[in-house]
Amino acid sequence: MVASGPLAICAMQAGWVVTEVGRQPWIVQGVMRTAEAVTEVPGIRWMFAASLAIYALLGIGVVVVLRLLARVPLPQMAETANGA
Amino acid sequence: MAPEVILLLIVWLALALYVLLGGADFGAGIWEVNLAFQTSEKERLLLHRALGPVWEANHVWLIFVLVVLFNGFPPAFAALSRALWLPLSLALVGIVFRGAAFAFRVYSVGATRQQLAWGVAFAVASTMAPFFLGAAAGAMASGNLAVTPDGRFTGDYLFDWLSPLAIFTGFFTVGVCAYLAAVYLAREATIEKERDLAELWRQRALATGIWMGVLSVSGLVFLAIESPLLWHGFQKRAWPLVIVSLVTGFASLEMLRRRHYTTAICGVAATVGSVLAGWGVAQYPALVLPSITIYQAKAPEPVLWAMLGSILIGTLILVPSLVWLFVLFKRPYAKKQS
Repeated sequence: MVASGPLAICAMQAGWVVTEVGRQPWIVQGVMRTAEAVTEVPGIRWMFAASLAIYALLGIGVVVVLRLLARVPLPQMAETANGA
Repeated sequence: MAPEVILLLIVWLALALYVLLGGADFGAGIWEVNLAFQTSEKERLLLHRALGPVWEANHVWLIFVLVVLFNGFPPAFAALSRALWLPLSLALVGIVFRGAAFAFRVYSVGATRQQLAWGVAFAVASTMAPFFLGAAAGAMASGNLAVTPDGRFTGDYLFDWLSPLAIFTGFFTVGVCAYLAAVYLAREATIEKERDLAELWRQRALATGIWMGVLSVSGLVFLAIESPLLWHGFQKRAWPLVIVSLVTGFASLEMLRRRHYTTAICGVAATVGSVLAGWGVAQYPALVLPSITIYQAKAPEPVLWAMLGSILIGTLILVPSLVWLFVLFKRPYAKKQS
């Protein structure tokens, strides 16, 4: 029961990865390759790094808030906090 | 009427709704910067209550504008995505952090320092998003983006969007959001029979409104200097709308002074609407100045008609649900108090 929450998320992400990786090298099957579709804006690496940083920050935020909720649960939030 | 013209009208209408509804949400966040320094618990509660229920629903209009541009005018969407990637990404960062910080703050009850930190993040992100969205609009209005009709961008990817006009419209948009929020909050406080709060927000609205009036006149000067194409359009076609916006702007200030808040909101809506309409009329038939017009950028006609059909059906579902959302969340407080 406890594991089913995280496992559901894993299943969802895995399905997403399968579709995205599976259709390479096309971004529109048979019409356009991913390499042709990518923006010519320079510095994609930096954008990627920035996105990672932002999501890392938000991830830390989620963990902190969830830990807080686990310690002092809101009345109706107790279950959510324990599940994570 | 040609389908591309109808779609263009729908885009401008959705943009106006986004400014009026989403802008007020941003504005309430902007005022939080101020609340961090001097505030009463009561004031904070009013602000949070007003924001609480519908605070993300309004982004539906931004998504709508983006999707219609993407499907209906692909080259224009491509050109804007390339030329304005930096301000639009920064606006997105603002929107993401705003939502996250709001949620985190609500759930970190009890941890005062954390709540304060998320509050600051919320206020900063709420200012950042309209600033960069406004700056992107200003960059578009300047007509200096090196875009080609097939959607390429040949300019500098880091700095070309950054012009005096863009910085001005960035600040101007932040001001518009703050003004909208102050007028809405004055009305909400009146409905909740919080006399002193209503007076506070009325004063803030009046002060911001007067500043916005001064700013908008100087905005015309910026436009005349920096964007000759758009300025020409204003002189030739769109000047009646400038007059409408000035008249309704003054009218909304006067209504605020007389404490007719609902009428004031209608006035503000007319002002914002006529400013956007003026921009649209002035640059018509261009979509992205100087070189992309709606005729060059439109998708094939069957696509446009199919889009119009689906928008019509979507509206039949979306509008009643949005109205219901507003009614549901605004009603209980009013009822309780009256």
